[in-house]
Amino acid sequence: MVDANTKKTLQNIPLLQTRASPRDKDLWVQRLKEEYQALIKYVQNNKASDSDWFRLESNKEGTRWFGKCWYIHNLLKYEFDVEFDIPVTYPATAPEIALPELDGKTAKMYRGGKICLTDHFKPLWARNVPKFGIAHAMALGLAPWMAVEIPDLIDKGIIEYKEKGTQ
Amino acid sequence: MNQDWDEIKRLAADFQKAQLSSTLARLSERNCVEVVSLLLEKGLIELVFTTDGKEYLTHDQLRKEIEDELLVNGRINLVEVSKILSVDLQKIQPIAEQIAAEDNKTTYILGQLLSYDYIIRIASEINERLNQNGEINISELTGAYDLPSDFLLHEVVEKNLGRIIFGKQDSSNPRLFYTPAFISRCRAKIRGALNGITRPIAVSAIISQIGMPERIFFSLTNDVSATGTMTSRSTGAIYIPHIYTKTQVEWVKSFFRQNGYLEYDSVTALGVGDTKSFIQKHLSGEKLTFLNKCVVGQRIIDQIESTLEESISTSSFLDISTILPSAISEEDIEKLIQVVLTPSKQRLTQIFSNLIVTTKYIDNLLKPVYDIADINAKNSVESGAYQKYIAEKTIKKDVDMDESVSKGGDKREERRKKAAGGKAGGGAQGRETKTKSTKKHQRGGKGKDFDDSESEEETQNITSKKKSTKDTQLTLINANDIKKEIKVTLENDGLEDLASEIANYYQMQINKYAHNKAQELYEISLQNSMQNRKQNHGALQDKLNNLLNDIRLYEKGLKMFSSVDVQIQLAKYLLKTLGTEFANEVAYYVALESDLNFASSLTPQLTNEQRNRIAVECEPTYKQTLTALNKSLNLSVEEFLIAAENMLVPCSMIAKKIDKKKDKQIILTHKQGLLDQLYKSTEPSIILHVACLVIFTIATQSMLHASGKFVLTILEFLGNGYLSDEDYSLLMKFHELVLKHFKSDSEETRNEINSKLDEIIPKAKDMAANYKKIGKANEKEE
Repeated sequence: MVDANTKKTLQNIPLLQTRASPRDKDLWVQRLKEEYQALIKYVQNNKASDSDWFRLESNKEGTRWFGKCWYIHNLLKYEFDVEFDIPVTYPATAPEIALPELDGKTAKMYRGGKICLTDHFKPLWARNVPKFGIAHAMALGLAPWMAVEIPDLIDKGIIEYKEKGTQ
Repeated sequence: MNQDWDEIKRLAADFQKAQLSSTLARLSERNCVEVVSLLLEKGLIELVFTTDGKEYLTHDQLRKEIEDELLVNGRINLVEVSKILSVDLQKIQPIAEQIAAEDNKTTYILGQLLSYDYIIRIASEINERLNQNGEINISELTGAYDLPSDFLLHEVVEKNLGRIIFGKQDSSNPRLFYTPAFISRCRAKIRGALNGITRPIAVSAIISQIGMPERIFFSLTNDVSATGTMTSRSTGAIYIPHIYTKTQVEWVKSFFRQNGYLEYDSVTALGVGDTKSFIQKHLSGEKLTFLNKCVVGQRIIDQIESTLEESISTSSFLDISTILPSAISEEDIEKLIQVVLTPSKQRLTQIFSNLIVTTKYIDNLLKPVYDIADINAKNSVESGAYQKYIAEKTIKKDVDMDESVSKGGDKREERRKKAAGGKAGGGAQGRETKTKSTKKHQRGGKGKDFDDSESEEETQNITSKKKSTKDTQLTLINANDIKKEIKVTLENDGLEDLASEIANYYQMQINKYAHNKAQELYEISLQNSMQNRKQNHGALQDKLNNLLNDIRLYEKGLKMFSSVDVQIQLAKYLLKTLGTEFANEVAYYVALESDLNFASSLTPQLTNEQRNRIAVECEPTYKQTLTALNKSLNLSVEEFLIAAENMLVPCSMIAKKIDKKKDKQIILTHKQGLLDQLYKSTEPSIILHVACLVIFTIATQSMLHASGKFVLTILEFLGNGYLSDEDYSLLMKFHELVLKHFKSDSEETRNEINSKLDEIIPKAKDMAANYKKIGKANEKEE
């Protein structure tokens, strides 16, 4: 199950209404608007709770998303690139979030740095089509993955802290 | 469409803006926690954590909050404070102590903080309660306020006594407080209760009746001037009103005054526990006699005594129960009798249950009975029953003695002591002792051994009598006889119920009396027979001696005859007559001495067979000699004499020694006897016979024992030198006449002869009497 914190976070993200993929011209616009609104709200929430953890931006059509995400462990901030595409069967299919930097460093990852999501994610998502959007995918998919994997990887010494200046 | 895309662009820009806008200038909770913990670590601040760990308080804040709580409630429990403020109790406790220490109006006790206001409040509450109940106990308050009693007492009640709490502290129990109104109410109740009581009542009953705690009751009863006393100061006590005691005493006094006695039961029924001392106390002026069930005054005793004296003086009887109140029990009557009967009076009276009978009365009553006893005793002695009884007892004694001897000397000594005691004892035994002494005197001549054994037997009889009265006592008179005898007299006096009692009581005594009587009679008869026997023995001894002597002398006489034939015949005759007599006497004596069962049927004249039978059956001491004696009768005189002398020894007789002088004397007396006979007798044959014997005796200076048969032989012997011819022819003529006289048939010839004899007899008599030893002189001359 999703932990209490995640649940609370999810509840604070507005749900979406439009069922549309990038192929559905007008409806996609409508959907994209809702996506943005949800994302804005989510980011605002994060900032309010002092748990802001990513930066995202998209191409013009809103089909490809990229940015950075970070995790703070022992008062140190570890930062990674994040990217994903909106699949054509969206929103029935969840976007496959990838952390290319960590490709090959952990078992919980598909080729190309796509993270392995938990067993709960997919049925949860399927139940909530079309209400869940990108913001939900981030909160429900990437955030728990990072909370589990990153401290483990740091402990194993697979990833190391890089001074801000270097990035 | 474009418009939409513009909007998208704008949203994307907004999104970027939102993302890029710096985060708020405030610390997140996480950071705050970290910062505070860092500060605490460095000791820069001092804080108190709440129990959930989400909040911090400064010490001042905590103290302030505790004080606030105290202000609101007046009394707070630190545990509750810790819950309300979610601060650990350990943190609160020192602060609470601090508060109490700094502020003297606040009290810290048992983990609770109390404000001054609170104390004032409970003090007024207590006052209210006190006014309501009239009485209050600190221990009750402890329960009600959940505060320690010492605190309540010293800090709350005592401090406010007279200011807020108006009451009185109990002097004996400082934890008790009363209102004066309550006290006086209780006192009034107690006074009422106690005054109303007229009989003893358990204090517990009084207390439950007036509904008052017992300690108040007990502390107040002293103040109340009660008209009674309490047995103790505990719940088990009994309150006894004076009026009750007074009525008791009055009842006891008046009852006693009226009736002269007082039953314990009735006094106990009044509720008096220790009746005796009670009576003694309240009737102290009286002379009291305490009995088992009642107490009797001097009046009743005087009455009994006077009646008793009267009955003694008139030798009648007195039934005490008739003059006593019916309430007095039998047992007490007996006791009373004991009191009344002084030893001097006791001697004069006999008690049968309630009846005091004077001894004089009884003596009169029993007089005929004693007569019967006398008769019975006599009868028993005469019939031999008593002797049998004595004999049986003696046999028993012998057995006892054998046993005791085999057991050893100790017992014998014991018995001797007992015997001595028996002798010393008064009454009947005294009499016996006396008889014994006389007996001894009478038997002085006897052998000492014999006497001793006899006396021993005697004492044993006494002891055995004492010892075995119950088992072997011969009943000479039984209770029924006595009863029958006295019943008539008693019936006249209306006392027939007592007949058997008196009979049983006196049976022993009378029986004993009868025994003594019997003993007496028996002893008298015994003495008589003993005396007889002794005399007999002596006489017999003399007689036997005389006989023997005679025989010896006669034997000498018969030796005068020259003819052996005559000698043998004379000897035979001698043995047949005198020898047989001797043997008969001895045999008879032996038969008596040996207690042969047929002895009583014998007479001194015995046949030969009887003698032999005695010889066979007599006691072994006599047997041999007696048998020899019997045999010797058929032998010669010498042998007989030896046998006879032997015979005397076992008969404890002494054969007198042959004394020549005495022999002469005997011969002289014999001659005198013969002369007397000669003068007296008128029968011619006897005269002739005696005359011959006299002449023979004088002539030979020896005695002759011969029958008439031998007259001729004697005459012939005398004629041969002892008689003058004249005398001889006279005697021969006399002899012829006598013979003729015997042989004569007709009356005539007899008369003729008689006349001739009459002539010749005086001559012959004279001749015999005047005969002097001519022959001898002649012989001498010759």
